[in-house]
Amino acid sequence: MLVTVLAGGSAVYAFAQSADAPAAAPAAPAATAHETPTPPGGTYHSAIPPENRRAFFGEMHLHTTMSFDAWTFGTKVTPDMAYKFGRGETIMVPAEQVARQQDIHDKGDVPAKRAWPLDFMAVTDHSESMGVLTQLDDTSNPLRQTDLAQKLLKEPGQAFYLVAGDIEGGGGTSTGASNLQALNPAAARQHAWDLEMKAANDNYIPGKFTTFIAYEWTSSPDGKNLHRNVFFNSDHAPLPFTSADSNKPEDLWSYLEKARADGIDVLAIPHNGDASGGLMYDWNMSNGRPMDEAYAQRRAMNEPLTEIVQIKGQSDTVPALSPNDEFANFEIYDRLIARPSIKSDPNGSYVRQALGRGLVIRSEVGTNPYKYGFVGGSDIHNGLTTSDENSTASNSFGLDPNTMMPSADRAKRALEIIPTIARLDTDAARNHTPPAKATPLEQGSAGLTGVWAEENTRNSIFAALRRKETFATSGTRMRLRMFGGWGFDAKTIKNANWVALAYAHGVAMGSDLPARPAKASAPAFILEALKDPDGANLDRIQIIKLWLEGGTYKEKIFDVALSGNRHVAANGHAPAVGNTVDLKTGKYTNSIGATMLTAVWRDPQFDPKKPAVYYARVLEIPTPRWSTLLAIKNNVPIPARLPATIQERGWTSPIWFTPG
Amino acid sequence: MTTESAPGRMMPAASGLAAARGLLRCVAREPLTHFILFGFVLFILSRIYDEQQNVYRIVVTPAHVAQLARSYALQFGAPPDPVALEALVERDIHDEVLFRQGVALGLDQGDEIVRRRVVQKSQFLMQDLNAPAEPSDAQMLAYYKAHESRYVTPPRVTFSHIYFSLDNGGDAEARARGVLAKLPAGLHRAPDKGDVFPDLYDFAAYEPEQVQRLFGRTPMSDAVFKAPVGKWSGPYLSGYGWHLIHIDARSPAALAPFKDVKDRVHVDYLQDAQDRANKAAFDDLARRFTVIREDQGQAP
Repeated sequence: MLVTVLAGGSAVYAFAQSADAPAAAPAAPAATAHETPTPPGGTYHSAIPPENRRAFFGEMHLHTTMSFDAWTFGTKVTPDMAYKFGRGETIMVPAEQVARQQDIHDKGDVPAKRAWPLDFMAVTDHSESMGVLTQLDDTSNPLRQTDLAQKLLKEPGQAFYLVAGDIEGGGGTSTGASNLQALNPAAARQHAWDLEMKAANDNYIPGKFTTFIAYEWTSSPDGKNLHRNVFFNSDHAPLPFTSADSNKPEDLWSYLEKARADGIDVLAIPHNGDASGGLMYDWNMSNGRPMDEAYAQRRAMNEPLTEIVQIKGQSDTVPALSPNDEFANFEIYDRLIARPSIKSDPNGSYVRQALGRGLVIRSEVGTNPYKYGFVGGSDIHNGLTTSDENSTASNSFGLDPNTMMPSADRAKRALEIIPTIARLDTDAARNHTPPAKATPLEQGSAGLTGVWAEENTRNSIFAALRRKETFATSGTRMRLRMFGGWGFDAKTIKNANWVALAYAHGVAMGSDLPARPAKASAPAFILEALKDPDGANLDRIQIIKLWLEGGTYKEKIFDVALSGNRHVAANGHAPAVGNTVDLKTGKYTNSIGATMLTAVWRDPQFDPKKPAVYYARVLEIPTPRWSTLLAIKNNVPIPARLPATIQERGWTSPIWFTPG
Repeated sequence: MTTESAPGRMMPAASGLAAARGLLRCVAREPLTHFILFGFVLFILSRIYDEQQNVYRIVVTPAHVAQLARSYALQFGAPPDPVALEALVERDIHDEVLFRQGVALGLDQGDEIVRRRVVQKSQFLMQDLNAPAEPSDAQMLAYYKAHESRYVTPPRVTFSHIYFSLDNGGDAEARARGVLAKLPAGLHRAPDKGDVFPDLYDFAAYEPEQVQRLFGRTPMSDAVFKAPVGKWSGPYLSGYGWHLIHIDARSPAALAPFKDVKDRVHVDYLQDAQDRANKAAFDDLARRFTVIREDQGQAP
């Protein structure tokens, strides 16, 4: 076993070294002939019945050295290495990367292994200038002699602004690199895309580890985040669309629709609504006019899912929008990403509000544009996807806690004990003013996507994404299920066969409730949450309901399952679960909470005339935040600016009710 | 004229020819002649060679122009129009003039980038010249036997379990022990004897990694690879509670049969053979060089 692992590790690095060689011919994607992709609009059929679907955990958002910004941060891990790390192999992280990112200078290349292997994964490098800067890592590349290259190698941070300028400006050349023309961007991008496709295909092991060819479209008009990740169900894909081609989502959809017309199914997943300054879930279209039905239909078709959590905060909701939600104050990142001095307007920036707005827009134009299921991701920028609290120390980097933990001053900078300046501040760069103060404490650990699928294959997992039978977590492996129907009651889940019954007589999360039978009073929901097998117990399951009420929407939260002997009080709130975290050691115990929570909940305030949407949120008992663990390990005070403990959580995709 | 010639008149001519022949023979034997002739041939040859290799002569072949057009199409997605193509050729000539001038001036000497590029090309050349031959089945089998550790598959276990939740009150471990004591012999699965488990009860041919993904890095995950086969045992603690397990079958880590991994052996064999050929070729080459390590005190 050991031999295999080591051999795997060295093979990875050999690839990394040859990956950027200029003389290498563009690599054709390796064939994965086992499987014919389900065609666009087609239905995936499995011999396995739905009740035997199982939860698979994956990473849907990761950057490697091929992303222009990751390169400027010193990332050298390639897509191939990133996939191997994700599936549990030991890889060697190049010495230059650990020196620049963790201040580890004396160990050469450093081994790194994920704490537990993922089931599926997609590398989503920025399409803009993809692979253009990595060319400069090849010391034999003549482009290194250009003035631009010399400048970038001396000050890699400048490269960010050269490309970021294109992204914020949102126009220019079709190469997505108008400022990097001297670096032969068109050829570099083609080479990079071939390499991305090959890495995804080479690391796909049907049944064990699924990969998707994917990329990130990085539209940021005025720094407001409209980013989308694009995922293909195929072993080849057209050259990525860039924000220089267009920064309007409508144009990205045209690209997706063209790919589908050409036989490749593809979807886009928006992320970081929290940093969109109100643009992500706007009432209006890109041209500022109120949404029409054609737009709503295209959005729903092209974007079935949205990313609700990642290192730059959760996009569920914030206290400003949900004042009655006592758990809304969790991992908030409410500033524009590359313009850290500017606060992001919460209105139009959060998913919960989008679900409500969707009901309103549907009542006006006939289609709900915001019929989103949920995924979670990391958005880590050093190629190492980790999601445990002990595997993060901010700065968009994943870590092997055994070999890569930053210490001394590097740890103090992550904890804001030693102040630093923002790594990205386009306003300061443009105005030649000092950059804003960095706020590394505000980054959380990564999120994860859970899918319920028959098999660990591209077709099966892509079908689960399409039908939104998904859930997101803030990084733990809790397994969440929700079903909706009209005939469920407390007896249903006593049946050992209840999952089969739930599929047969109801719908899974991500779907519309079946038409209401004449005699049915209110919909009932079956909920089941199982803890992370290596993690903390569960505190509670909540249902979050939004419904249409007099031209606008309302929101209400119900505690539907509580661990221990707790009950909802007359004021609608349940007592807190408690907190076992020892702030001296960073340890907690599972002496409170539950390993599993289940509930059958019937909406007590149902009105059959009012459209509604329901989703579940499941909370863990309090556990130490990464910043607490890092402070304890380095024997420095736990930062007071953010909570020392957090309640990790998961969100199920919603179920919708529409009056018949 | 010769018909009118008298035999007598022929004589001097004949004797003159003989004399000339003798002289020629003499000259032909003369080393100086050899030298001059050889020099002349060399001169002609070098003229011909210069005609072809003249550093001041740039020949633009149709094949080269086609190559320029292909590169352009690859980069910009469409072939160049005649105007663009002419501009490409002009620029190529411009660059070639400067390149040859630079080489003539020795600008390529001592340049690290040029050196690396030449090193790289030498490496590629060496690899191309030493591509290993396709192995026979017997060669692959021998290779497989010599590298068995690479083809070991992880242990696998087929088992069923009964789950006792920590949430259901009472002492879950004690409940599990109570059930274990009463399980009838011959029973292979009995999920109903415990609590409802929200995943599978029966697992076929699971590897340690798969067991860990579901049950965590816990005693339960270790136990399924250690507990006795063919009977119930436990209880063992997982991330969710206590479990009784019945191991139906278990296979230890084992060498995969040759036929199952032949494709991998083939790839590994060729890679190894290529690595060895590359090293041998380099060693051959390196033997022609004398390396003097003055930095380590060796005399030049």
